[in-house]
Amino acid sequence: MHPLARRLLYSLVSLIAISMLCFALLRAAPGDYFSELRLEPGLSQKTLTTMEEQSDLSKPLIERYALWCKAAVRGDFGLSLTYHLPVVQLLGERIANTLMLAGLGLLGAWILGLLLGSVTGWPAIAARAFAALLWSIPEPILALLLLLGALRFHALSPLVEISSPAGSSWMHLRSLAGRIALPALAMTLGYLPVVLRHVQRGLDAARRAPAVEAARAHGFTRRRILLSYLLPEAATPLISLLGLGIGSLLSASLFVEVLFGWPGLGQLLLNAILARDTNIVVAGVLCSAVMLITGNLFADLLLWLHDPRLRAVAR
Amino acid sequence: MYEPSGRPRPLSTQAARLILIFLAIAFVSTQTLSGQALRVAGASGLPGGKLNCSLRAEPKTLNPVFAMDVSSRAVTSVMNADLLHINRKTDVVEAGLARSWEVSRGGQTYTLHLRRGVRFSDGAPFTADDVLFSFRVYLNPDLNAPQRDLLIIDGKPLQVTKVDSLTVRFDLPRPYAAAARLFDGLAMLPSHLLEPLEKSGKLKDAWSIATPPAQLAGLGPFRLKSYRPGQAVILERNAYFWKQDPAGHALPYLDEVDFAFLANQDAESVRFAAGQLDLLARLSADSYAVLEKQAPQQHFQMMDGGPGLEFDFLLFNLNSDVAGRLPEAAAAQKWFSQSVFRRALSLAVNRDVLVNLVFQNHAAPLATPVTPASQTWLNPLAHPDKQDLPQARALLTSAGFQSRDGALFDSAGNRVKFTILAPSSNRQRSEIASLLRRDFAELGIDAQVVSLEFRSLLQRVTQNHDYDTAVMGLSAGDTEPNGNLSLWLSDGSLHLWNLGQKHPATQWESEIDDAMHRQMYMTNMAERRKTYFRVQQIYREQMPFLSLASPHMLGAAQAGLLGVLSSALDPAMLDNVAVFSWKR
Amino acid sequence: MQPILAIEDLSLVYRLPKGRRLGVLRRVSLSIGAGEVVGLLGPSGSGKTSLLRYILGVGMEGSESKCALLKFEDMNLLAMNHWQRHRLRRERMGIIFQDPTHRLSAFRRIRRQLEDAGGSCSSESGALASLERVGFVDPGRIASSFPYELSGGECQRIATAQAIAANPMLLLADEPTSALDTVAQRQILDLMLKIRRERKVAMMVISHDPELLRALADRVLRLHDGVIVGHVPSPARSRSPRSKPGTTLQMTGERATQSVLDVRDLTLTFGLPQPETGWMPLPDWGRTRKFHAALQGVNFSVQQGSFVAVVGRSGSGKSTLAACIAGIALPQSGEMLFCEKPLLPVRSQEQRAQIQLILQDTVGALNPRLTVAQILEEPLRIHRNQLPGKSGRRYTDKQMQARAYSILGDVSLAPEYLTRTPAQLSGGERQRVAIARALMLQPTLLLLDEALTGLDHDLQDSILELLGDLRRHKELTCIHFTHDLRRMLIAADQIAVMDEGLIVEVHPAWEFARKACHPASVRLLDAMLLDAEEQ
Repeated sequence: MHPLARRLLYSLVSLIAISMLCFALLRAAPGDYFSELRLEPGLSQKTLTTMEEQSDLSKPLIERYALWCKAAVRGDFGLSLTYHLPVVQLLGERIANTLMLAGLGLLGAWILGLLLGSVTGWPAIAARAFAALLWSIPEPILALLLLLGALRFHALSPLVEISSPAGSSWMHLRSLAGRIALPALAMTLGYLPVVLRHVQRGLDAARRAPAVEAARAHGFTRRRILLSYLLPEAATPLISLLGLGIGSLLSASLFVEVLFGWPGLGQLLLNAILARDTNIVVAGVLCSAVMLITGNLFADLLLWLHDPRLRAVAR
Repeated sequence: MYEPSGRPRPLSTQAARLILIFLAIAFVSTQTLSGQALRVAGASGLPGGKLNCSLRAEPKTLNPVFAMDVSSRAVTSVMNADLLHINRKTDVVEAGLARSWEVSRGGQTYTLHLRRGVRFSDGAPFTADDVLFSFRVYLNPDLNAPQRDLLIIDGKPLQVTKVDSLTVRFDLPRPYAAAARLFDGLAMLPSHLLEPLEKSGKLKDAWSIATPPAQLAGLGPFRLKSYRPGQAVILERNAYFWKQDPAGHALPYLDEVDFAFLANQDAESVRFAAGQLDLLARLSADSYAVLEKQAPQQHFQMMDGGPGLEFDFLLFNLNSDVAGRLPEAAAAQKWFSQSVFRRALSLAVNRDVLVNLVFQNHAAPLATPVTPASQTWLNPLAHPDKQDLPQARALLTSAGFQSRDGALFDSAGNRVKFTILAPSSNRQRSEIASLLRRDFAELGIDAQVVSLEFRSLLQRVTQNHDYDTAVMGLSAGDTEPNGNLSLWLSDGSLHLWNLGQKHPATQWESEIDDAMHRQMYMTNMAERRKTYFRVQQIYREQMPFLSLASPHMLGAAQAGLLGVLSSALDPAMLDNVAVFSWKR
Repeated sequence: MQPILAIEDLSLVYRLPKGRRLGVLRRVSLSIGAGEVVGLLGPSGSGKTSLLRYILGVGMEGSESKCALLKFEDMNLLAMNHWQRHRLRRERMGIIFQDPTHRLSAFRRIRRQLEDAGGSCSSESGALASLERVGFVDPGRIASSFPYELSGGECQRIATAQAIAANPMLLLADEPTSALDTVAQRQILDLMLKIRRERKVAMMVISHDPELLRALADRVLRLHDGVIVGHVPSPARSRSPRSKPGTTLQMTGERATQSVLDVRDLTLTFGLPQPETGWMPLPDWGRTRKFHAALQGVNFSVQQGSFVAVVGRSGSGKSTLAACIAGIALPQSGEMLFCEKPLLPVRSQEQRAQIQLILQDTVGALNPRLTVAQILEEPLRIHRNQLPGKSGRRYTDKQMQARAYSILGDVSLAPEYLTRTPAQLSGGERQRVAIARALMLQPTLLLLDEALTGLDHDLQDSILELLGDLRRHKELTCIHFTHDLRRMLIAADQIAVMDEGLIVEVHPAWEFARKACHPASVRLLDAMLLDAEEQ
């Protein structure tokens, strides 16, 4: 079988396994969608029981899963219990926002990480200390500090997009940029230490690599050494990290989103997990898994392009 | 004075008359437009402006029939209106969409006269047919509207009859004490939009958060302008709203209300301090304290609305199905089942310290689950227990408990120890649990706090009954006794300490059942109060759970926002959003 | 003659962790004339490579130097900044490293890497021409290859092409041949001779191979502990250090009469199922090839106390035979008798203890977490119920320590090495520890699988000398599997030639050169003699 076909088959199998696990875990988790309604003073036991019976939750797990699979094959991931809306619609509206925020955040972290990571001497030590400091602050607190800082300098962008029905796309873009800046910065700062350390380590090792040393000893041009010898040597671990980063695009920004009120998947998934809204959780987790698989595939493809030795093995 | 017609009138007089006529026409025209508009006493403000609020979670639905969570209720309450409305300040039922009502047949028949000329936010007129339709929806057993249970009295639903296009008669199966209050919060629905959906069985999924604004209509001061998934609900002024200020200006004053979704309270406070949010409702005592410090410079209006309807309590597991099935819970139940033991524990709790430490004094210590928000119904003789350890010890000794080396043992020689469940997500209740543990330790009781995720805790309390004690909080549905019905009645869904009883397990529970059933149908206010006082007295004697404190309704608003009022009933601070206005 | 490079009073110190300092070069002065080839000889760790790096100005991080004069052509290198030095390397100096495969970037095609070198290679045609110049017959294929597709010798030739691309005035070479096989070694030597002939370029060549220096250098400098201890003018280099211990080894051969090991009809084909012995099937030994017949019926016997060298080119089955005798690999058929007792199908614990194997890879052979003392005691702990002798008595911990102490002395390591870990040892020291570990069990038969390859010549000699001593005193029998025929002609008693999974001929070492007639033997002898001719 073609290696790519085999990879895709494995991916499919793991997606099926993940969906099963999700169902099983959500069933095993204590409490269900109706737990909180039981504390509603105006709601009688009888009404609750009928509500439960009307929902799918009363059916056996296997049957529910089978029904879900049947629909999922057609692209229908069911209705949300809480919102009475198709899960696909709910997620679809938000996924783009999450991808935009996380993508921007990770991009920022990579650019900063590559820049800061490639300096040497005392600035490198300063960068490392900076990364350690950032790393030691939990992400939610980092985000909150950012919020407070923005408050202090009157740099908070409006929470809700200014409603201008006839506003030009330029205005729209500007307001979007204003709103995404802070959460994206929070993402960037949260992810920067990881990138920075990897870049520093990778470049350190690459600088000592025999081929790079030889290139310097031969006196190749400075740019040539950097682009064609140093960076390729350092790239392998960085490509893997990039793959991981892409894989986590959907899940990395959850906390930041909740804190900044960013209209992404974060709040939806968080509430769905708390509310045991099975269909949303399963679809959300599957999306993340697809993202992870895509990220890994992408990284492997890059590695394959990068390293001729891997191409030789695949042949 | 009469003036002969032959003489030419001075021009000024003529002009004055013209103006008068013009004004008269203008007045009549506004009259016909808004029919018999409700004049809101004391309202005065300048039109225009926008209100930015926040919601802790995205609303689940925009359908007032199925709105059960706080966020959905806040939004739908602003978009809809009810026939009769409880005045949040005075706790008295007042006219709403019904301009007046009569009670006849000894309180069994209510005849409501609707306002003339009222229109939905899409311009369609509101008539008796809409009322009939709305109640048909609420009472439809297939739809399971959460309000349905309230409208079933003595097992029978109330009957709704259209008398004419502006008059509706409600027939109750029995005279019902709080019948007028039932109408509060029941949103009147537009039959022209929803009836087709009801007929095709799609009402359950109607008016979701994805419904386009044109398909929604309500009678509230604001209507949907746009919904931004995951971000905000944006409401705009309802031009057809049926209330006016005393000067005859149409309400609401504000042009727009935005609800942004912000799950984190700290982030909410920051946005408020930055002026991006104008109103914060349901503030925690901590956030309130932080904002209060900034209030003098920033001129925030800090609003402490006093105790709400929430009561926090320590629940004992007295469920009868525990014995044999759950040995540990059953062992603890041997102590909990003695009312003396429960009273002793109540005496051990220092509620003042609890109110001070957990709520920064923004809470009221409780004697019973009836909070001070229900002033009329609070037994004046029921005082919150002060900590009295000697008496608590005396009570324990009298029940055969012994204290050795600072540890408490029961008459069989077992060490008294149990666990206190607390929801991990709610910091205040976790703190309460650790304070209780400290207080109980004074009696030699070894109480361990166990933090659990909220739904796990609920499952243990409501389904497994696998727990010793738990710190919980509930909110009464109303200020009056029926708001706590499901708590008091032995077969009620909130009779948490012993759920699922077919018959009252104890004599005192059956006495409470009896009293609660009787008070429901009493029309004599004094007699009803006396009966409810008796229920509270029985509670004080038996103490089936320990009522601890009722947090205040805390909120904050920007300095320039006028007309804000904090209330115990839903929606916490938005009830009179129609008269909110900005100071210029 | 105007010197092209002059160094005066160079001292070099490396800063080590915890504030320690390691002196590498002490007051070194030298000069190289234009077109002169200077060899640099010295044991490992004597500072040869450091000196070369210093001249280049590369890889000097963490070092401090003091130098009175560093002059190249007429330039004062000490006054030059980093980038000027870089430019100088590009235009005036060339360097050939020891490990050619690693010194080329794995990610870049050869043509590109040649073009990077500039000079005559900077165009595509120039790059191809330069490949032809270093002896490639198909420069097009080589140019479009990646380094992993080429052999070490090919890579070294490419590196040489890079080094001479800009027509440098000074060519530095750091052990240019030591990582290569015999044939490739010859090619590189030829190449360097050709460069010397054609270009009149000055060279400084580091090597621990005296033959190479003899062939190439006008004069040889000897570096010891960072000090130049002697200028050896090339024609006068009289004694190679290896000749001395070899003769002593040779004398011990004839004494033994009893047969220690008899191997009959041993076959092993990789890819075939292993025989059912109840033992765990072993992973493939050596390279994974489908149905590769590694041993095709090997017959030979070894007398007690003798030193047998099994020589052959790589891939001839030497390592597989060693693995079979050591019990790591199981042959599919055949017989092995060890002191007249069969080793197949299952060998006893005692037999295991008495046959010890030493591998080439000393890094992988020693557990990096253990100290030398622990490494030495480990085999005793594993075999403790059978030693010493056959009495069943056990070693006490004290005795074990004492034994480790004395064995360490046998391999000429000081007692303080007992507390070190493998990471703190040099390659030669690690190999000596590995030998010491094998000797801990007082084996009857010691197998060395290329165990000396990669060590410098002095060290190889001293280890062979050590083995000779041990054979005399401890009734030890050695089988050395190696490709180094030259050294074995002197050191071994018997030489067995292996080819295509068979022992093709066995002769006493002293008459091997005369008697050997099998093509494989002749090939080996030819390669060796070609080397010698250059001298």
